[in-house]
Amino acid sequence: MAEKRKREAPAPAPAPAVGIDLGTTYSCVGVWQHGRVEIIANDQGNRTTPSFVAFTNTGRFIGDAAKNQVDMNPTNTVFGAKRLIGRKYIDPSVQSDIKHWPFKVIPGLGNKPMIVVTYKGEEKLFATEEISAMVLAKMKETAEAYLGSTVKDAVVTVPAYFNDSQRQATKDAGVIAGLNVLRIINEPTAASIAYGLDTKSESTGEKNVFIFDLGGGTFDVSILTIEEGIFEVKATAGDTHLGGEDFDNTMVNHFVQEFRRKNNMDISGNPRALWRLKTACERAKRILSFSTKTEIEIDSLFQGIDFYSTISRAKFEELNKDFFTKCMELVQKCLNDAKMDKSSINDVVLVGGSTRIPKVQQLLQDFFPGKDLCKSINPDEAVAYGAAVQAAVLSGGGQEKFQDFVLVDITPLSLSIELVGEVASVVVPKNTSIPTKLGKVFVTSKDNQTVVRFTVFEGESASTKDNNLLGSFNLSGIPPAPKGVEMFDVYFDIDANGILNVSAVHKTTGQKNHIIITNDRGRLSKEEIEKMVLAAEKYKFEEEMYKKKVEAKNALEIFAYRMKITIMNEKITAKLPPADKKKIENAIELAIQWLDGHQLVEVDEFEDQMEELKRICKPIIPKSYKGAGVINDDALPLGRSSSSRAAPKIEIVD
Amino acid sequence: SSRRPRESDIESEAESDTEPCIDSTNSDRKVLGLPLKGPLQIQDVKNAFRLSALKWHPDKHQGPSQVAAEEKFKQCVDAYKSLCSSLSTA
Repeated sequence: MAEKRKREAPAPAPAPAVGIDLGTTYSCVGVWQHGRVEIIANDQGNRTTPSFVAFTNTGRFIGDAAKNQVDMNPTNTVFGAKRLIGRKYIDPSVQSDIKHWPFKVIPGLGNKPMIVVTYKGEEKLFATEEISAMVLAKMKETAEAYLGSTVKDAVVTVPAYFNDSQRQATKDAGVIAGLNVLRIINEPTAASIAYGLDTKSESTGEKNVFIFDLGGGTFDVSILTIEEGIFEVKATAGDTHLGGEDFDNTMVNHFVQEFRRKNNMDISGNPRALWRLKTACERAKRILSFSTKTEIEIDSLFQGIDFYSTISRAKFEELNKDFFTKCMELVQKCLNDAKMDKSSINDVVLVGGSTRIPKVQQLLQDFFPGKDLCKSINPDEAVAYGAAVQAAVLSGGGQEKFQDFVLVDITPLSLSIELVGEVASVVVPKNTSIPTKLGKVFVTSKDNQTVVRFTVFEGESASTKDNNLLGSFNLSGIPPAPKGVEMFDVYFDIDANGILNVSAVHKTTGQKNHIIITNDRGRLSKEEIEKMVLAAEKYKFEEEMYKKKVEAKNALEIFAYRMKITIMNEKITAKLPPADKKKIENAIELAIQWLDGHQLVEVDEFEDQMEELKRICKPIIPKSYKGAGVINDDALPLGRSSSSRAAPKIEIVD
Repeated sequence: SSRRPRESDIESEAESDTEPCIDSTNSDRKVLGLPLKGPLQIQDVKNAFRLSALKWHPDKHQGPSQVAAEEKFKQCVDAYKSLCSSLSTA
């Protein structure tokens, strides 16, 4: 297909909008550019970035650098924030997750879970949104480094089955990260875009597509009808707390018990041992996707005792069979909701790292007999890919290409008004296409009632106490009358961004009131978000300062060692008076000694030392050095990576 | 309960709106640009809805036309829903 070449704009164009898949365990960023999606590699060359944030005495690390140091710093390394976001501390899933995590989580105001870490020797509390914001900021930086300009706009994905609180909190995280979130879109829907564009050329006519998205922490299934460029989501189901992490945890529990049996010791109170075991289990899980048996070997796991064991694929499957059964139940539920028979599904698409598990594939294959499971799209990148396309569509980039493209998504959960006795009266059924406006008539329940209260819930239970409270408002000034006489039209209006506006009108007086569901208790206030934005900027500034210090220190170190080698070269020093040579040698030794005693001082101190050393060494500095940046000098015998006494940051990254 | 300041105090009106009448079917057809008379296949409704989506989904409109398009799209969703349910129960 020949792409039309566009003329370059004369002024530097602002960076295009990006698509970010904010995952439980890994995140991924993509951008629509030159007529296609580019998945952007991070500074380590990886196309996905661990959703990890680490705090140390010297600084903060995000992504690979954070994940690579968990061993040494388990209690101050935060991961899996997506399992906390938009939830309450007392939520059973939060309580169970905390038991598996090496970092500390405590209840904050309004029962919000707060993450406690030690950062630069001080105890700090972070809201989940702030941690997610740090991961988002890292993805933003990754995109900026690639695009060479500041990224503002982004589409961020969430599990389709996320509720309103979880979506709003994710959006808040975007704001804290300095992003303008164009839209929160559903992960399986995003993946379907990747699939749809991938197969567009080879098929015509309507296609029913089943998306099976099993990731690190969440599980979603969606059924879509795709015809040409029109993507219509028919139904979605899922579990926002089911994924690869859970499979790892059942293995960890299994081996903790084994260790107890073998050694009569409990390692479950030791975060470092648990983390090392978890890492080994995660690795074993991956191996079991292509091998039927594997070993776990951890030296000195606990109190000097080595741990060796084996695990078979069959054992792994048995340990997790309840989770796999749950997945298949939701597959059936989604078909029921879509009022479709499985025979009408044309394609089954696998998304998310956990769909590599052979048992998962086998169960799906058995469920959809005779259908090939579609593996042509990258399960780790498909969501970011689709988000990048949607970002381009919403920001008006690549308009010609998307002329025939439209995505009609749905509400995953039913929306209702509470009646007397905590009964949920559904106004918008789940799986309704959005944007939408639906209404229902309500009446007073008491004689001479002058005020009525409308309370809005989300969820599938017939009783509101098991659903998620979204907000409430009153309508007053109702003329006294017997119960059931006064009537109210209640409208639920959902825009394309999923923002819900509930309004009520009294039929006879025309009195009205409404609520826009954007700010519920448990959600951060505008002021809190502003504070967190400032804090995030401060952390970023500190990080940049730290980076500058490390760079200045490395520059001095490399220069000093370079000079040390140069001064030993007789060809260069032959013409030098012995006294000068001695002076230079002394200066180099002093500088190296000074570096030993000054690991991280201010940038100017390193620079002053550098100037002084340069001045003394001037007679032996090769011409190529003058004015040139030290680090980038190809002629240097000591490269960046060979710097033996690099600061902690460099060690971690390497 | 402590979660909410007061108990709910409203009731739902008796559900009587499930019977689709001819009038609403007619207006639904009109919204989706379908022929007002004659037999209708579910596939025709689906196709009509998708074409409407391409035309009226707010994402297809940047700027001032977006609000009107969104209203129009909501009507299409409503018409689509009711036509589909009346065709599947017929």
